[in-house]
Amino acid sequence: MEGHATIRDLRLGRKTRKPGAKRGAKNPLRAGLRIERVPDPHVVVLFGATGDLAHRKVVPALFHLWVGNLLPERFALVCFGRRPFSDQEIRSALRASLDKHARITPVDEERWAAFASRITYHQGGFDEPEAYASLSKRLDAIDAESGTGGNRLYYLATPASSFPEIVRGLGAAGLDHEKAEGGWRRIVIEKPFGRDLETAVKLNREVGKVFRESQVYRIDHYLGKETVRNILIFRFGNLIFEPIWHRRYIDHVQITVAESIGVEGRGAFYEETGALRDILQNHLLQLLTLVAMEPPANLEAEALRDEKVKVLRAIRPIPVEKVDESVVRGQYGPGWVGATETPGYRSEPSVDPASETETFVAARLEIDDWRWAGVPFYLRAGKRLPKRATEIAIQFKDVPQRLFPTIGEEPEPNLLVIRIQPDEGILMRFAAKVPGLGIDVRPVNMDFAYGSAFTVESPDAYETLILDALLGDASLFTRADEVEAAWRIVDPIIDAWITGGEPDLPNYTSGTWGPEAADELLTREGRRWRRL
Amino acid sequence: MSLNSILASSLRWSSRATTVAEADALLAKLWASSEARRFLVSDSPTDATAAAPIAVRTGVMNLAVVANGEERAAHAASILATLPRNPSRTLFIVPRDPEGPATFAARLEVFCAVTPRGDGTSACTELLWIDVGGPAAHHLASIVPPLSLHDLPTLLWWDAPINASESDVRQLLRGVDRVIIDGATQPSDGLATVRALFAAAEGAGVAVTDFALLRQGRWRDAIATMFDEESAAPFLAAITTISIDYSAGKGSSASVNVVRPAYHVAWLASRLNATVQTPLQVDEGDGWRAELRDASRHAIAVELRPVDSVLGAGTTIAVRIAADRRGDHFDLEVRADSTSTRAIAKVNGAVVHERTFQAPRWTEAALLSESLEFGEIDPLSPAIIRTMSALIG
Repeated sequence: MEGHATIRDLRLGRKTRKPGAKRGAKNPLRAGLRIERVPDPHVVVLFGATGDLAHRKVVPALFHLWVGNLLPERFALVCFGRRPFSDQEIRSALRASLDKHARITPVDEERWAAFASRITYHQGGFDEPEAYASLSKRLDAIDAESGTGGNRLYYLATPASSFPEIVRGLGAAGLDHEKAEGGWRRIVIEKPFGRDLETAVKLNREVGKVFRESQVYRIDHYLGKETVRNILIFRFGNLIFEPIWHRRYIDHVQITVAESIGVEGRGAFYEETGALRDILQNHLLQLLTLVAMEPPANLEAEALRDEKVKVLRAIRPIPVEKVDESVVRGQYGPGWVGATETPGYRSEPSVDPASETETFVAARLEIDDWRWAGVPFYLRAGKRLPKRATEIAIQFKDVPQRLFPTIGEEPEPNLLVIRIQPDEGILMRFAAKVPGLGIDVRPVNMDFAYGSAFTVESPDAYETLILDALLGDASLFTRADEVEAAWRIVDPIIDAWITGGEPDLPNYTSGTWGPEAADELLTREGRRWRRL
Repeated sequence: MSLNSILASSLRWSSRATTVAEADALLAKLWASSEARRFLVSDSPTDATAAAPIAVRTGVMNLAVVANGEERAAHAASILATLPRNPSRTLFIVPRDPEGPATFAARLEVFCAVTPRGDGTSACTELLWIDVGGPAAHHLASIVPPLSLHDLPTLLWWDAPINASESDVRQLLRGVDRVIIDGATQPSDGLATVRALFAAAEGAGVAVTDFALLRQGRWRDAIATMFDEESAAPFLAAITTISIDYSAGKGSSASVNVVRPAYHVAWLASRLNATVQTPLQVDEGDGWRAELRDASRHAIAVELRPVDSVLGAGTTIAVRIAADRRGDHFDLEVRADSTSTRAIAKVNGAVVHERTFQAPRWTEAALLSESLEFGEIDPLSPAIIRTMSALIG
């Protein structure tokens, strides 16, 4: 009867908990403690440990969690990679990267020494079965020596093309099995989750053959950002906004992810991705779901993700033949950004001189539900724009009747801006009387900035998300059906671009706000993009 | 923006005042118009400009620090300087010579640093160094409220022995949102002092943050986590003994401050819905004894035992919890050193779970940072403090 607990077993607490159940959920001593839980003793197996993502983000995040005492004493990091490295060499390489990428500098050498002593290197190809067999033995040895309890987090910081073979390798070696006597197994997968709906479904199927959905953590680092998490608090922790969060009061919503940088040496990657897949399919649509979702029943992962999926399914599909009316793509040519002359995209290293990859995308979407019917959501993302800025702007409708005389421009309607980066905060714009004898009206801002209201620094998004994965909290991770629902929105756009004629690219100068067609997307409806 | 970065900031202003009204007026005038902010002086000659700088006061909180002498005030400022960010206005108040003539002297300082938002805006914080003597030193309640910024929470950090039975302290508590003390530094066993403060704070509707309670956080994390284990969880409802070892220090055990070990008991009792049957009493042998009743009215024996240790008097050395359930005996022992806590759980003498937690001893800066940032949302303290009051009796 292995795997089945009797009533008596359960009553006496002699059987291990059901996988995924929150241990300690009814422990009264837990209540009110600042740190909900330190994760169980565990091993992190980092695939792609010699790569850019591991050095820039994953290992610095793990180190900061260690410094913050948020990792257990019984913790080990096994770096898995193709290249030959000794344990000492990988530690030295990671230490050098911390100087560049650590959030808190200088690096505390004493804490680093303790952290580094837990790092080992395991060489192997992702497609070599023997590499996984030897990894399995090594992990068992670590469990025996270090008391890590069989708990393992597999972190895939590799190109997406390697995901299926790593998952298969882990499955073939039995490294996915959660044992009855304890020992969880979780896998973190970095975006992109596929290149289109078909590949996303295929990838989900490949992953699903080995891991249950509850073991899979698809990471979109935007969801770990403090301000993004604050959207939920802002919307559902305050009474005053919910009544006006409705088509009756909101004219439209703009969501912008602007970068001033180019492809920064990642030309080969970007050639295969583009702004649509890199930003809109995940970051922009995730932000849209948080703005548009209905209140979840609770903050459990499934309740939150159910509501997000409902929004994605309610987004009106854009027919392939009408993509040109609702979506604009762009590619940057040479120009000047921040007083520096910059090359065009086609002149970047590893980029095809005749590339048709988009570095800018803007789209107009509509959500067909009672709350949002008729409210357009304008999304834009691009590289080599004048500045780095990510924000959500909720533009309210105008007052039904203007009572007050104005001088010069008409006062603008109310605006609510959730700034995600930089200078995280929330701005509310409203009309106020200009001091003086007349009744002149001018818009003024109420501006909340995280930096001036709280005395603690925000953790990096990767720290938040990795800790959540270690604790088994999937709230901020993307579920398989969520990924597929997002691709269903994006797929017709990809189809239209593939089947359409040759695009006129490049069509915007570096250091400008994208192609003119992006402006026309709004101006033809009497609106305009916010000046950032 | 830390005070360290502010002190190395590009804009600053200072002045002096001899009355509360003058201090208030000088600061109000500075922020009343952009014209007045021309008086914010740039350190860097290259920054000197005829245009008024864009400077805003941060909107965080007021902090009033009552310090036992200039050295303590400077010490408090040095701790504040290590925090990531700062209160909008901090009053460092040094009461002196209560028998002398009434005096009031304030040094006012404003420091600003450019914010990272990129539009050249500077965020500013104000420091007021206040010497108050004679009868005025007994009327701090007449100083703090008028010098506090409107619509911001006001925190009072009483960095000295506190006598909550004094009328001025009770009045002062009525004008603040939270009082921060260190129960572990109060005279004698500390129990009577904290009990008096709890009563005064309750009367004034003021929240209390006690560094002595915060320091025990790492112990609470370890104990709570051990009871997450399914082998330990059932015993939580069957506790028979809570025993705390604390350092006896070098003096006589009667004068050792036992606020910290007592907080462990108060926390456990409040979380387990236990009631105090017999308050803490000095044991005939040594240490203290009390008795609790759990939610099922079963007795829980409590003992605080002094032990020889090189650590400071009153420091917790070990927490032990024993329980009996259906013929099985459970023991949990938690110990700590400067960097970690270590917990061992046994059932019938056999180790069933053992964990070491990275948990360094709290620094003063960490305690203050925690108090300023999270004290107001701490759901634990009120219940623990209520139980602590009952435990003290």
